[in-house]
Amino acid sequence: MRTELVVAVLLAFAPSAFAGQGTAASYLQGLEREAASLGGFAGFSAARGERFFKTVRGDWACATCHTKDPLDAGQHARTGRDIAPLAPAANPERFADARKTDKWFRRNCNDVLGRSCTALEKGDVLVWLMSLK
Amino acid sequence: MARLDRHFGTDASVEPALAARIGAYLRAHAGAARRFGSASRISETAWFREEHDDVARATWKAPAVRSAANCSACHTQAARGDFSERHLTLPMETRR
Repeated sequence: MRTELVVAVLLAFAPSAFAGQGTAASYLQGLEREAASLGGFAGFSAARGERFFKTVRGDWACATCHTKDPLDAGQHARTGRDIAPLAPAANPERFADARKTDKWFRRNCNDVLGRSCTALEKGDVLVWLMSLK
Repeated sequence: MARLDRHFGTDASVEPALAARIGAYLRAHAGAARRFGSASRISETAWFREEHDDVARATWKAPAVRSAANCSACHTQAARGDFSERHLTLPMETRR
């Protein structure tokens, strides 16, 4: 417990040492800033994120490949390729690399919605995913 | 490479700098059309079909495989570019 406290204090004062490696929480903070800058932002909602994730649009929902329970591994709807679990509790790498996360939001929102997801939509989904244990 | 956002029905786009590097690699190392043909899918080239001519139809349809794009279903080191038979594991019908 003492070691964790020391590490937490060091991390709080040395963010630049970890510039290359973020966390799901830091990615969420970035989304929060973006959503807030657009006006009318009243916070993210896990319930809204869950609905968004499971809503089928055209052929697919996010859940089509990532499954309705993102603690589970998924499968690509077309190629059959395995997809590691999306929820950070099941897969701690998720959302820790901002560029990788940006890339996959870009690709997969285009696949499912035919457009980019808004910061609000991404934040809602991420808040829901982070709530899964 | 110019249409990665429409890659066989999904968006496979990458950042422009990476797209340029991949494109340059492909141009520098492309095989002869005479040998590989001009199919847009690797899995539709005569070469691929010859390599996989002993794979049963049932195997392609197995839930653990499902498509010829799912290389790592059998080629366990595909993500590292290693397709050698040393690392080949055919899926069992009951897996997944």
